Amino acid sequence: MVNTSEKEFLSHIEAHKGIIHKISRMYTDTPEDREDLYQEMVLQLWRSYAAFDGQSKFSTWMYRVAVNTAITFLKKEKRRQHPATDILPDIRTDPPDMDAGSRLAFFYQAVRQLSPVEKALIFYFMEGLSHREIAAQLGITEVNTRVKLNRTKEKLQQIIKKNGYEF
Amino acid sequence: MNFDDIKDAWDKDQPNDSLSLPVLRQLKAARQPIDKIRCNIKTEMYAQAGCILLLVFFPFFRNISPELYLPFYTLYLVMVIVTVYYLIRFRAFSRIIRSYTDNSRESLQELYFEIRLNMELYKSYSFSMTPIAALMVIVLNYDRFTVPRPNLLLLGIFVVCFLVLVLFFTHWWVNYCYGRYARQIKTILEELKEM
Repeated sequence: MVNTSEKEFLSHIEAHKGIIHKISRMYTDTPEDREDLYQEMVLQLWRSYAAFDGQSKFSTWMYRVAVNTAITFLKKEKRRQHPATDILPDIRTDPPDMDAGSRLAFFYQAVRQLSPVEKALIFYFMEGLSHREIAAQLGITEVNTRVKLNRTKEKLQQIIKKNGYEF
Repeated sequence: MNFDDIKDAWDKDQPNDSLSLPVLRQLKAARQPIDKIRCNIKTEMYAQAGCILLLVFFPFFRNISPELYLPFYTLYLVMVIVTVYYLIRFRAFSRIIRSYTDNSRESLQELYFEIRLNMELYKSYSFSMTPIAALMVIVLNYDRFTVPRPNLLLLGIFVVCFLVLVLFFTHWWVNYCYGRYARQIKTILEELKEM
C-alpha cells in the first residue's frame, strides 16, 4: 500500500523523469547499467526526500541528488567490455540528413567519453542553468565553472569531429 | 551539428515507455562506493567475530596444560573487548545516512572522508588484534616449545619480523581492496579544483 508521501514523491519523479533518463544515458554505457543507475538515483532521491523543504524547485533539488549519485556510481566491472548499445546511423550520412534523434544519440556517445565532472557540466549546460547556478550545484566558483565549461565544450566538439562530424 | 540543434532534441528527450516506478521499499543500495565498503567490512567483521567465538574451545582441542588457561583466557577477553569496541564503532558509522543534497564538491569530500575513516578504522582493528593473536598462538604452543635459551633471541626477532610483515600486509590489503574507491573520489575532487 502506497502512502501519501510516497504518492507525492512518485508523482514528482514521474513529472521529472526526463532528468533521470538523461543522466543515466550520459553516465552509463549499457542498458543494464542504465537501469541500475536509474534505480540507484530513485533510491537516493527517496532517502533524501524527507530533507526536501520546498525552498527550492523540486527540479533543482533533484539535479543535485541525481548528479551526485551518478558521479560516484560504480559500474559492474564485467560489463565494461560491452560497447554502448545506442542505435547509431551510418557514419557516412551527412549531418543535415540525420534526424534529431540520431544527432542526439551521437551526442550522448561523445558525452560518455568525458569525465564525471565534465558530464555534469554539460548536463547542467544543456538543462539551461546559468554559470552561477552550475557553480552552486557543483560547489565551485562561477569563474571556475565558466573556464571548465568552455574547455569541456571544446573537448566535446573535438570528440564529435573525431567521430566524423562537423560541430 | 551544434549545441542549439542538440538542445531542441535534448529538451524533447524523454523515456519511450512510461517508467515502471519501482516499489520504493524494495530498492537496495549496493552500487555506491561507501555502501560496498560498509557491506564488505561488515561481512569481514562478522566472520572474524564468528572465528573468535570458536576460539574459546581451542585450549581443549590443543589439550594445553591447565596453568595456561589463565593467560589464554585473559588474552581472549582482551580480544573480545577490542572486537566488540570496533564492531560498535563500525555499526555507528554504517548507520550514518549520507546526504546527497549538498553541492557536488561537499558531497564528494564527505564521501572521501567516510571511505578513509572506514579504511583507517579497519586497519586499526587489525593492528590491535595481531599482537594479541600472536601471543595466543605462543600460549597455545607453549608446552611444545623446546627452544634452548640462546635461541630465544632468534625466536623473538622472528616474532617481531612476523608481526611487522602482518602489519604491512594488512596495510597493503586494505589499500588494495578499498583504496581504489578513495582514489576514484580523489580524482574527481581534483577535477573540481580551481584552474
